[in-house]
Amino acid sequence: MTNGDARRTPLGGIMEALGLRAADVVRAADAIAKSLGIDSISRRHFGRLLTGEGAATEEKIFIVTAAVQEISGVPIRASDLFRLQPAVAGGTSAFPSLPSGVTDAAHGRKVSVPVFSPAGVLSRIWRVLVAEESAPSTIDAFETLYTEYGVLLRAIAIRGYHIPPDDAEELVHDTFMAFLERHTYIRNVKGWLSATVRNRCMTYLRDRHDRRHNVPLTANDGNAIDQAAQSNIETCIRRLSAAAVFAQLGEKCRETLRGHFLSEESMDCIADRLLISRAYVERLISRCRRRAIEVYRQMVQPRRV
Amino acid sequence: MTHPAEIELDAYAADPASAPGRAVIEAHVAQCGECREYVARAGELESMARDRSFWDDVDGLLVPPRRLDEALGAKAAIEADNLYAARRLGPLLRTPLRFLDADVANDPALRTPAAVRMLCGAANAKLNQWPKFSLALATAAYKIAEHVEAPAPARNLLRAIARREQANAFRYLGPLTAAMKALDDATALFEASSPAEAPFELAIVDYIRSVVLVQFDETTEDALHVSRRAIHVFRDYADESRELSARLVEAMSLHHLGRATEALAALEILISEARRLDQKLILAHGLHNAAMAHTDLGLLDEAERYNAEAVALFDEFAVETEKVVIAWDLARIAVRRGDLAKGVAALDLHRRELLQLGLKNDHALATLDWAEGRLQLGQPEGVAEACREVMMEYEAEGMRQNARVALGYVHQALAAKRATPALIRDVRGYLARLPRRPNIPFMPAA
Repeated sequence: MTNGDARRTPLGGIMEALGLRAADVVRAADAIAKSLGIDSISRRHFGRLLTGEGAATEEKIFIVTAAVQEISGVPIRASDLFRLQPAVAGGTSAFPSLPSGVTDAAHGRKVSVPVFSPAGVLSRIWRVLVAEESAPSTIDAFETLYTEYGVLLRAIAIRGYHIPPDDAEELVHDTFMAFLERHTYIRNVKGWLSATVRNRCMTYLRDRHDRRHNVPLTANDGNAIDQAAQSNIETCIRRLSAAAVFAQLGEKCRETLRGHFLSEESMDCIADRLLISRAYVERLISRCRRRAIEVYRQMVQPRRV
Repeated sequence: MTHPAEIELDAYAADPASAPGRAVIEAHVAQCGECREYVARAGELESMARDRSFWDDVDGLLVPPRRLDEALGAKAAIEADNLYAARRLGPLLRTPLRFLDADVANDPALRTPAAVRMLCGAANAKLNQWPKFSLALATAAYKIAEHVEAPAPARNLLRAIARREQANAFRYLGPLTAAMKALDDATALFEASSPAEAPFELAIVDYIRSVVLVQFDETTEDALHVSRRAIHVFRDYADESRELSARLVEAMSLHHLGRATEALAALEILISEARRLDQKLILAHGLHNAAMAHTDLGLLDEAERYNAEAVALFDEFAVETEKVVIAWDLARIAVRRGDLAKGVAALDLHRRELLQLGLKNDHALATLDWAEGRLQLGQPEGVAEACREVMMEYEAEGMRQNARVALGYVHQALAAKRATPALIRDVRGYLARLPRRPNIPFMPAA
């Protein structure tokens, strides 16, 4: 293994930055594992983690992180050392979120995972909208968060608070920038982002009201706007869930359904437009519709406790 | 039950009026929850898909956000700053001496937001173990924040975060007035940084303030008010772990205010949430506090049950001090039940354990509990000697003097063989409250 190899993983980068030796970390990890009565990590396994060739269980991640913390005295987090799965959408997740497959859909890859939140939790809006494991905040998942959760935040600003789309985009972007300034101590990233977007929307509306009417927005009016916005959020989440289902379908499937549902095009027209046979259009509509319904059902079915 | 084919259900969902076999499907759907749910979802999806703005949403999901590159650029810059700060500061954070020698506050290369954030993070992480080091780190962070080249709101944010960490350290180290001053400064700076982000920052300030207020005077309503304000905001931000911490302060405030029933209600919420979130340590503290509230209400069986669960959890985390403190509480409960011999024997054991752990003040209080029990048993032998060994540690000379005077009453009464359990109980109660009310001298009951 060379230093260049080690730099390829976050663990290697941090080790180098802090001037730590692999042998010291393994020794410290060993002591921690012994005190906890769990299996330690071998030097060989650790070396494979450094180069990114090996994977680590949750237990190993814990002892390695604790060892690096102990030796360096720096409050390093597991997410600083390892590429952890970002805590965003998932089948068992208890919070609504935009689907992890949206990025894949954007790049034209076929995705088949059920996405989004169980409908059973939607009525608990804000708390659940943003509920997240109390995992330490991380900026590792930033791109995923910006791409996927940003859609939901923009929709909340536009649909909930009636902010013009361009301004909503700015507002959400600024919120993400503010998050970066605070990423070290925000424990529930989605919660923080959602509440901050809401605050920013209210500030935006207050400013606009003040400029237009030359008098400040009263607290009662502000509360009324906020409450009305929150009542729209459930609908907003459902719509985005459904939109995500269609975004995940293949292009041909999606365009067939668009023509069928939106333009109420005849099967012949769709067949002509997509250069496929009428029979194929029929099959496509039937299959794609069923698939969309199935994915949507999985997404919004009540959570089984 | 035989279900209709999906294709039939689809047709029914799309247009019930013209669906073939409508009557049969309608009758089935009325009885079958699964098919009813299928039809409802299919109908929902069909109706949304006929709306143009819905397809705008679909298209929106297929296009990457416009400012993604800019955001990723900002993130990369912050990560690079973080890495530089980690490389420079990491080795210095290992020991206080190394850190103080390096005088990082005056190093121009470290006048970056990342250095401030890292020092504040380290200050927070070392709070329990090394509060003095934590204060030094937060102070250096504040000095750096004052010189960071950044727009005023960003600089104010960094100064505010550092000042808040200083307050956190002052609440461990005292004086509490310094903690309050730092919190006031942090509040003003957060308010001057960004109004949209301020509520969350101020809720953290409120949480620390509520803890400080309880330390100042446990009977203040202010701590209750401020902790509840923090709970409300943390809930809004779905920061469940911080919400739990604030709930603990709320319950403590209620308990100290003598509102044991309300304290219990607050603790039951805390306990149930801590179980749901699997936050075992805060659950243990919640259970222990609930046991104390039950004891105050005379519900001794409940108190024992809660304490038993708390001690098992503290055992899991190897928190020896809390385990001994709970054992001491259980011994006091035994005395209160009238099981004097068993309670006094346990108090004797646990007061010694408290001393071994270096908890001198708790040892003093437990010794007085034991002395009271011995006098109740009519066994004063050894009590005078044990009370003479009692040493209390207070930072302020005034408090030490007041403690000496109070203990003096016990020594004199024991020497004159006229000590009563009531006098010892009075002195014990006074000493327990002394840290919160350092300026009130001991006055024996008439």
